[in-house]
Amino acid sequence: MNKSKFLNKLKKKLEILNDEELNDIINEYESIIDEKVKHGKSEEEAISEFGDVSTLAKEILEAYKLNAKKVDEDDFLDSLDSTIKKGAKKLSEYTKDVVNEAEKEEITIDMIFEIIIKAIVILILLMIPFSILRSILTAFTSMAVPSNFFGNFIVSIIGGFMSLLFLALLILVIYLIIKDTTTKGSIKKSIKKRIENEVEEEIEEEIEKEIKKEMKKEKEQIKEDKIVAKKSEQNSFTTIMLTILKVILILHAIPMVFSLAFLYVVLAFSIYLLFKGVSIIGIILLIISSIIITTFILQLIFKLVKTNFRPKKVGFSSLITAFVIFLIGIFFTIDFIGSIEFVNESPIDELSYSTFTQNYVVDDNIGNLLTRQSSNYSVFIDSEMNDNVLTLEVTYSDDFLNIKEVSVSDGYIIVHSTERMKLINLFNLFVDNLKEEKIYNYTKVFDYEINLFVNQETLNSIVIEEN
Amino acid sequence: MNTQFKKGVLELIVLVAVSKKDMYGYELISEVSRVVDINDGTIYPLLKRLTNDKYFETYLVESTGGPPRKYYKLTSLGKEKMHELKSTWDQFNNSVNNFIKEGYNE
Repeated sequence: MNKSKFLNKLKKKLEILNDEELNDIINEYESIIDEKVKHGKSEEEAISEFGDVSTLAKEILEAYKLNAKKVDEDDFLDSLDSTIKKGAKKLSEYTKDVVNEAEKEEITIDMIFEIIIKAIVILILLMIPFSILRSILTAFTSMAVPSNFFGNFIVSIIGGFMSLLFLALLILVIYLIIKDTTTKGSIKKSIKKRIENEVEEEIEEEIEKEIKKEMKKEKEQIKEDKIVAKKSEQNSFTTIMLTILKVILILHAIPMVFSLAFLYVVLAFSIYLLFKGVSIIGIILLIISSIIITTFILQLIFKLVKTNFRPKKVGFSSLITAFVIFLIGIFFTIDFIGSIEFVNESPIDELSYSTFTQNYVVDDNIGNLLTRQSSNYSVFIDSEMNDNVLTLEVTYSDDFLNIKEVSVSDGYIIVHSTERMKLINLFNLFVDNLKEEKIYNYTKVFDYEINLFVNQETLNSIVIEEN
Repeated sequence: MNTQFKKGVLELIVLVAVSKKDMYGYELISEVSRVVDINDGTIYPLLKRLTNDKYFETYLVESTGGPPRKYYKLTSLGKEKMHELKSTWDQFNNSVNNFIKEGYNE
């Protein structure tokens, strides 16, 4: 450490002194260092001989304090006496520190019960307007959107979002109660502490008067020990309660983390759709607002857990922003859903169908195939067909179905097929349809149509035979 | 040795040192460190205290090549204090010496 560094450090530590005094001290130390250097010591050496800066500063400050207290410090023995007094005072200050340390855990059992009861009341109170708001919103949206799969989806999204908002508000309110209760508690505590301090000071004065009577000091010691013991006993119970609360909160946080992850995945997917040309701004906004609220809840939970239920600040703004985004999102979504046409047909273009054809020579298995009324197949008369031969033609989508064989058994047409789950095809189809603001019945992609071709003679002979 | 005890003795030593002749900070430090091995830093706070208690007076003297030196001068109150401390010390010293002597003779 060089001279200026040392002097600066010292200056900082002695800041409480007035400028004149401070400059005087600094000048003195500077001149002592200079003098030492003049007598052949290095600057470092000269400074190291002063010892630790903090200790030095403390001693200097003590010189002022002693001056202020100088009343009965008349002789050498008295100064020894004052040392003992100081030691006793230090000891009592130390125990006071221990007590204060213990008191930092400001939450007590009463407070926890108070918080729980308040929280239950708030829960009930909040539930009423929320369930009303929720039914109004869902009723409104179910009127606004068509009642189909997508419409129901939107209605359920709104319901879920309202629950999320409710949860966020609930946690926020509980948080505010906790904060309120603990600050009130700490004010009470500080008043109590002040009284304790006053009492302690009185005791200290007495001790100073009768410093040599060790008995009193011991009594004080025992008393403080008792306070510490009592405090720690209460604290351990509080700690257990707080730990239980924390565990509950963390358990709630786990599914939230998963839903947050899920929401992000959905968001990514929706943005992908947006780039593909589907205008789902509204849904994206809904997802974003849900993400904000979920994040808010998670943050609140972790803040509460991390700071032992005494977080410093929580912003409402994100909650309000989320709600505004949600409302805009609902508007766009309803608009989007309203413009979508739901077609209860297969989404596959007629031109892209393939046909599978197989001839069947009429045998005993024909049964009542041609006379039975069925929507399963259609019969066409084709004069160019050979006698006693049926042509079975299956129209299907090559993308989703693989047909191996068509046979007739006991009056029924059996189609041996396997489904080809080409999800990417289905998805592309869906996206293309959405761009045209149409939604088809996607379960129908595996459907097929059967046509029977037969000449009039054969048909007649079979029908007559049947009769 | 106990630092607090040392400090008590140090007060007497400093008063005696300044009673011989007026001294400035560095001079006092080198003088005192001849007798007791003590941290240089602790002497200044002591000087400050003794000055505040009116046992010392200070005055500045220009020095060659440096800032002016602050000299400490013993006041009459300081002289009284010195005598007082000295007699306490003598008493203390005597009783301790006697006690040790008795212990050794037995």
